[in-house]
Amino acid sequence: MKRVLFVDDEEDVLELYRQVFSREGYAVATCTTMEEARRHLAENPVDAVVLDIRLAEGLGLALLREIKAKTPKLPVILATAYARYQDDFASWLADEYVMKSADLADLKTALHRHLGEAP
Amino acid sequence: MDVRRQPQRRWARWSRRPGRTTDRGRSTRILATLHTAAELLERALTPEHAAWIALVALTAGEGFGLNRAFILRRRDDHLEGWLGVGPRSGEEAARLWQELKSLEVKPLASAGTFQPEVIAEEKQRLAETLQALAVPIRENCQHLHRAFLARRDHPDPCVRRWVEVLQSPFLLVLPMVRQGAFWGVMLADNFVTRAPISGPLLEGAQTLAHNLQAALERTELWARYQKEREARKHAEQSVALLEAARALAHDIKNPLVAAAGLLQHLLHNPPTSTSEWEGWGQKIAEGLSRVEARVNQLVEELARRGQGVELTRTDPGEVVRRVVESWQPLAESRRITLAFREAERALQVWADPVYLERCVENLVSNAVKAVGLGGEVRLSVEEEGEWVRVAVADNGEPLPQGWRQNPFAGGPGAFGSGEGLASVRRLTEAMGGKVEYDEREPGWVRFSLLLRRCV
Repeated sequence: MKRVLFVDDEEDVLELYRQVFSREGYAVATCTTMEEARRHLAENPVDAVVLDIRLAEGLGLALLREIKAKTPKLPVILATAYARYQDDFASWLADEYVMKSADLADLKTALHRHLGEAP
Repeated sequence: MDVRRQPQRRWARWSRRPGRTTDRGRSTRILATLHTAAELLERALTPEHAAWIALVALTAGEGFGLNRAFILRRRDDHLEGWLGVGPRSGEEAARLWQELKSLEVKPLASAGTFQPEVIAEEKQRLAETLQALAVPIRENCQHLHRAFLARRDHPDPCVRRWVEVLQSPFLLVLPMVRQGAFWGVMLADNFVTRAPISGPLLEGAQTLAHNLQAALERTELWARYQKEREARKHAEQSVALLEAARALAHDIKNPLVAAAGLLQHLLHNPPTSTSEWEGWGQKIAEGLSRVEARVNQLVEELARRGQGVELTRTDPGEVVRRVVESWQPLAESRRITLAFREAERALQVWADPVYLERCVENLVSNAVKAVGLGGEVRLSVEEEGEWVRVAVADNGEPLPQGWRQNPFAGGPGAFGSGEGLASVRRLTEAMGGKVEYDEREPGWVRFSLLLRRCV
């Protein structure tokens, strides 16, 4: 079972991820802060990270840089309400950039692709 | 726009033919006119006002006493007729000069008061002549540099055209040059009286043209500065508005995505029990309630920012001090005393600092215009119970009687446009404050903003 960490400061969004991606067969872990995510990554093996950009404590791009510095091969997918960060160099480190939507098809496709699964 | 200007008769502008004077008397009058015009030009705040002062100095009976005068200015590849003063015909001149004589008006003395509506009327009246005087710049007129008297047979085609349009016996031509380049020209003549134009008058008129040129450069710079400042304020407001909308849109999108996503998920994977349905329904309803709350917040925020009023704890003393500092150089150049009496203790009011500054600036601007050279403007901040009074008082001209009841009313009935004071009232009221006008101290007028004190 692939392990995916979702980082978002919106608890309802995380609830949605838990519901949907558990049914997709993933082991879902969720964090609402970057600090919590750092701890989780240090203590648990993870196959992919889905990261929101605007978090309550600041921009998730900082966490993206840290993850890529330590584990360059760990896929990180940015899922955000903003399209404008696509122009930010920092966001280019991510493996995929997905616009947040109630329809999770894009995010599912991105995860399948980066985890080497058939869609 | 200052509203406290005594209305003057539109016709009270141009000269009567001066009586027989000696050369010495004539020279004295020329020097006195130059002195008065220089003082008035120093006070002008707009290019149009400066140009008007120069035209009045050329044509007023107590000035150079010419019959009429015009200014043409460069616009791209042609000279356009900008402003003019004077009668259009001998009959009109006879009637108007008679009227001036009976009213005993001194046009130059009142030219220091900027009355855009009078200038606009005069411009409208002389529109046909101003239009006929326009010439393409490719003709030789751009080589003109020094003042001269022209006749019908002048070699320059521009000048010949002006003489022909005006039917002048002798046309006084005063070229104006800016940074070495031809900028425009003042034209004047005695087409009714046909009085000769003396050498000293020619020299005096040239000096006047130089003074006008300097005043135009200064007032244009001032206008550009004001325009840029206004544009910057609008840009700052737009950026703030955009940021607010962006942040709130993000806040709305997250719960909306979650609620809609969960609903879709449940429709594809329906829960098996009623209690499970209820649990999810509750979660979705809560999410949507949060969306509604954020939308309400967004609407309020945008409305508030749309008006540009964001009330914060503001130190009125600091705002007034800033305005006084920015006006000090101009005040000093006009020998105006600009004094600020601070509150006895530190005070804070509920205000939008940008709007408060705009209100104070507007009042100071009016006061500076009203006092003239050597006047006095006093600003103060004082506590009055739950209010703080920010006052701008000056010892300039009082308001016309009809305006004292409600000088902040603005609108079409206001003297001048009256929009400056009306805008002060609107902004102050938007900040939850009120405006007042009084003449409690003899010889002084006082405009006040009363803002709610932060407790």
